[in-house]
Amino acid sequence: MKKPALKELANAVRSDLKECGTIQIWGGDVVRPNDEIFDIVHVAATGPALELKLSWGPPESKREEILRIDDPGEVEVSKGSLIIKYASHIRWAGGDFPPHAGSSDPALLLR
Amino acid sequence: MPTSTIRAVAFLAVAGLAAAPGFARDQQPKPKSGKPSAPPGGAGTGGSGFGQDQNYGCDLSHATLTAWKPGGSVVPASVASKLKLLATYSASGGPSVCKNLTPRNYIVSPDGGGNIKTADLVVATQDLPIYRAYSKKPFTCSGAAPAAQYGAWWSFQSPKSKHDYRVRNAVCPSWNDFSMKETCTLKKGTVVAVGPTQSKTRCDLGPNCAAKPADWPVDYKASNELQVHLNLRSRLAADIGKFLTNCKTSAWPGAEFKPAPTSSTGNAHAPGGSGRPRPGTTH
Repeated sequence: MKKPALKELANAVRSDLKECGTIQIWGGDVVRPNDEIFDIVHVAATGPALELKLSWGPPESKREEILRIDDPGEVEVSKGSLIIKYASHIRWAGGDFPPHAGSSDPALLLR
Repeated sequence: MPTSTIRAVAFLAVAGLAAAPGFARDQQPKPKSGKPSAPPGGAGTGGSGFGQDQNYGCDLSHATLTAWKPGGSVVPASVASKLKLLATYSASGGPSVCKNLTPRNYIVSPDGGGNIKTADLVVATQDLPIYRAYSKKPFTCSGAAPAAQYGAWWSFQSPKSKHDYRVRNAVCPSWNDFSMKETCTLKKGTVVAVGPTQSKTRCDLGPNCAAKPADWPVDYKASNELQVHLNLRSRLAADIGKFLTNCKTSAWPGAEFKPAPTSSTGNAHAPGGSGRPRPGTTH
């Protein structure tokens, strides 16, 4: 099987995932699920990475941060959900998330 | 690197976000034709004695409310006696009178998922104090978006001990350092979802951690602690003020864990706090 075209992936994410309340990286919830809802306001294929710009907070003081997935592999996009099984690296808002050795959890789960 | 595939699986019943009626922003129920709308948050003339709920947009004017039984959940009798049951929020959906209801799978989680196990939609028949603990700013080993001042999850009991509050509400350490407390009044006639705490596993993740504190628990058991869900998503302070009033903020001092080792790539640069104007100041 060929590697996914990142632009194709970006288009699928753009179409099917408008927001999420759960951000799981390597199986861990990096935020409390659905305490905040994050709008996915921009999706782009940048080099070998998929980049999602997430926006959240009240209208008076919106915040935005980038979620970057390097070398995404085995991706499942559905209405309201994105699962990326493999990645060489994930960066979220300045935080660095290298793969967990031996972990069977997906690299990223958004829903 | 494994071979990659894209599988676009349309319309899986994962979250149903696009179809969820509760997420049209600031959506307000329209008054029925020929009938005057009830005053916001106030008493109506119908069977329940209440009009339009401002949290989930429930029209209570003709709703039938029944006695609410907390079951095994921990809730002071003084609070339980001021709550009436609108409906159990079952997997088949919420009551049709609610137009801005948060999807159930945003509230109720399976084992290990945190938040609550089951949900009842209850109405505050009198003003009630409501509490939340949150993070003043990102902290060592937190994520970039730790709990903000006005998030979804609240409590009817004032937090006392950080450790006890964390364990009873299954709050992962990286989500919230409990550095601040918020106390508000939930206005009578407001509908909220309540339920007992679901278990949470995999609390082991802390980005930008050279090493997470050794005494951070990884797993939390389910408990009978009652949690309260509010729909504060993308709401203006003025709108929130229609159901949350008299809000007061205070620091919650005291260390809960042993200090984490300093990280050279710490996230102290990240902006902190929600900066949201206090709701209810005009009430």
